[in-house]
Amino acid sequence: MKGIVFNLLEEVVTSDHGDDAWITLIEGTGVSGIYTSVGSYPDEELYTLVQASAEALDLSVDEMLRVFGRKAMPLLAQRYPVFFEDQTSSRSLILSLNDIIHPEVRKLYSGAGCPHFHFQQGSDGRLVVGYQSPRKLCQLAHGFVDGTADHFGEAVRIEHEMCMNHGDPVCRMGIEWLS
Amino acid sequence: MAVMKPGSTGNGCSEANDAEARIARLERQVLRERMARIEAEAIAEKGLRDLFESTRRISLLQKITEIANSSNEVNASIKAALDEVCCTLGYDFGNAFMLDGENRICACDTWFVQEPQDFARLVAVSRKAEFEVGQGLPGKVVASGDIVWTRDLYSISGCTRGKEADACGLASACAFPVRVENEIVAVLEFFARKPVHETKELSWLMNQIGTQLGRVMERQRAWSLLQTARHDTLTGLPNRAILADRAQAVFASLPPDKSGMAMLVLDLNGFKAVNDRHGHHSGDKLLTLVAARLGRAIMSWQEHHRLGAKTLLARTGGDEFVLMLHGHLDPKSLSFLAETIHDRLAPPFRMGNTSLNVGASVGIATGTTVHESHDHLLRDADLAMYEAKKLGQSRTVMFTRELGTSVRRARQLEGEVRDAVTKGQFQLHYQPIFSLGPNTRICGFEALLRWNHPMRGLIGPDEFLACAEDIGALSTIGEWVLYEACAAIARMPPMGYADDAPFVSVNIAPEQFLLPNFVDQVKSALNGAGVSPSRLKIEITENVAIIDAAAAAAVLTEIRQWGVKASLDDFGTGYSSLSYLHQMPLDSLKIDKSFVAALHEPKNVNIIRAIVDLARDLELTIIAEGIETGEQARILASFGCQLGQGYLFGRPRAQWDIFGLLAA
Repeated sequence: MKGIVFNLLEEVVTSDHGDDAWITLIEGTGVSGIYTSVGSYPDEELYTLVQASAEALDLSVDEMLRVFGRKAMPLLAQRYPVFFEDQTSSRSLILSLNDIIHPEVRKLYSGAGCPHFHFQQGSDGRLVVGYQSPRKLCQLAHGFVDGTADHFGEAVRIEHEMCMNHGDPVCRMGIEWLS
Repeated sequence: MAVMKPGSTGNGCSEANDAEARIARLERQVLRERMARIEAEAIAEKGLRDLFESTRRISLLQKITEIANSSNEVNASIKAALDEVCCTLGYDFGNAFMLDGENRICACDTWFVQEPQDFARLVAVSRKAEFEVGQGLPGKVVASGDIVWTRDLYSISGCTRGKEADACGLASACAFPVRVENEIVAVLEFFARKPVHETKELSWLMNQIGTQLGRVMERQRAWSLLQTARHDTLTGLPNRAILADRAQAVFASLPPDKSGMAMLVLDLNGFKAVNDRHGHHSGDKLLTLVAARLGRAIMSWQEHHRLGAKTLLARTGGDEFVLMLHGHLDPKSLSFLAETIHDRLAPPFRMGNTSLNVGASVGIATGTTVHESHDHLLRDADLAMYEAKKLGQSRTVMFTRELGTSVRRARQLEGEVRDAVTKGQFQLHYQPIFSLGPNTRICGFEALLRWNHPMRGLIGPDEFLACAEDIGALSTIGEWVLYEACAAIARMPPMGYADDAPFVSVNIAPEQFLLPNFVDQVKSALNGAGVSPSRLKIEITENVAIIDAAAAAAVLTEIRQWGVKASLDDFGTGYSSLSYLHQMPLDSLKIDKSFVAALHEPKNVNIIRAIVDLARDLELTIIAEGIETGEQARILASFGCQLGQGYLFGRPRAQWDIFGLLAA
């Protein structure tokens, strides 16, 4: 897992619950706690941190991931404004994932395992995003989509039509814009 | 350094305050450290991104350079470059324009698209689009001489494709020039769905790509100049140089038995006449029509025969074409090819109000083990073509080893005849001519040409005169004969009995007789030898009169005025027209030996009688040749024939051997 994800989690936790909350998490879980955006770290450390923060906040892991994703989005926009400046809506940003954002990620980390998203645009404006990832972080993706909608002042309804966590071969998420 | 030690007072409360202050300071330091980390990360990320971008640019440029180095074909190079640029830089559609030299910027149907179905509309309007300088994206590039970046196509004046680009979801475009030296020769344009940002590095890259592709175009220009020099501008067919290049390559690829290659040489019949009669313009037009018909003939032959033979048609000379064939060939199909060509050329060529018929002579040679080079094969085909030409209109001759041998022999003979002239291998032999009747006596000699061949001994004129005529040596030999005959007259011993000194008659070929300087030749031969003109008799044939009766009469009149005698040889075998006979100032007629040999046939007797009667009326002396028996001599004398020659009186012999007769 890329260090940036740990950094984002740290920033989300710190901004909502203070510096001590993050230190408590690190020291309570026994993970290294040394993360830089240009490095890669074991996936397990992220899962452990997410799990621990969910417990601390009395949320399910899925809820925790969604909150994390949503709150991480403004931080990402601050740190990587280039991904946002050419986009006019959350839809266009989501659609730029394969062609713009992931290639940018690969510029920084050659060989980064970015998932490929399959987009299916319904005539009613609904966007179905399908993807397959061994990390099965579709709930984090859900949170990112929420955060993206927030960024552009939009509201979305997201439905997980299929999920690898429930034994489906792929994850499939339907996004519906409400306004 | 009190500031550095905030907890140095002894008070417990203040200790707590100090601790808090210290924690706050440490927290601020942690925050600064975090910010420092984030900044360091940003610097590192920028470095990584820049490295990635520059590696990608260099690798793209490397690929384009490889393309430019490995290809001379402009469209293929541009297509490959469009492909590389689109795939590397993430552009969706790339398209190329060429400048036509007249300020038009024309798309050359060379393009690349990532997802064809998504961009079909833009491709459709772009692949053959045309712009003026200053109009549209390519026009703006040519006008400014620089790269153009845009995220709003409509902002470009003369934009004609905005709607299609919008429909395809394209957000931005860029275009850059391809230059040969300072001249813009092409423009490449790219469209992308993602917004394209202009950077210094990207501009540098585009310029480099333009330079590399410019190299290909420069090479192609040089090549096409070379091609123009190597192609016949009239028919557009390859010329002899290209034929030689290709033929050499094909020959080198042949198996050891040299099978699988053939040359067909074709020479038009009567082309010179078309040029002379209708002018060079018509001649040129005819050649282009012939070239087109030949092309169709070859195609139709290929379709019918399905041999998979490769062909190359070249124009190698004024009215000469060569077809090189390569692949599976058999004599039957080659004959059929020649027939197809003759058939196609047979219908008249319509040229304005006139129609012209032009056939061709075709020679074909196929590769065999004896062939040492493509040139050797071509020479054989050429030789066959000349044989075909000898046979007449629209004929085909396949080269065979026998044909080669006979032509080689003829060529060898030509060389030897040339040598014989310079080495003085010719001799004159003399056959005596006697008066017929009871008091037979020697009146003169016919000088007969012999070639004392160094290897083959004495050879009669039948074996070499035709060859001498072919190589244009006939007049030279004839002149020598005239001089030698006059010299022989001078050397002749005086006769014991006669009042009339014997004459020497010399056969003169029409080519020599009708030379403008023939009269001078005769005069100079007589003067040179210092002999009386009356001792010389020239023998001409009817052909002289047929070719140019008036000129012949003028020559005869002049030389007879000096006293030179003139005789008509071989009378009765040819045209034998009475109309010219009485116009020709002659002294004698010679009856051909074929009539004499057949004297026993009543028909021949009648002919001889008629000739003798005619000659008497025209006051001509009659000479009969080929007399072998006393009986023949008696009969001819009884008809009134005055002179005779033949084996009865003596065979032709060398001068030393014959002039002794005079003393007898």
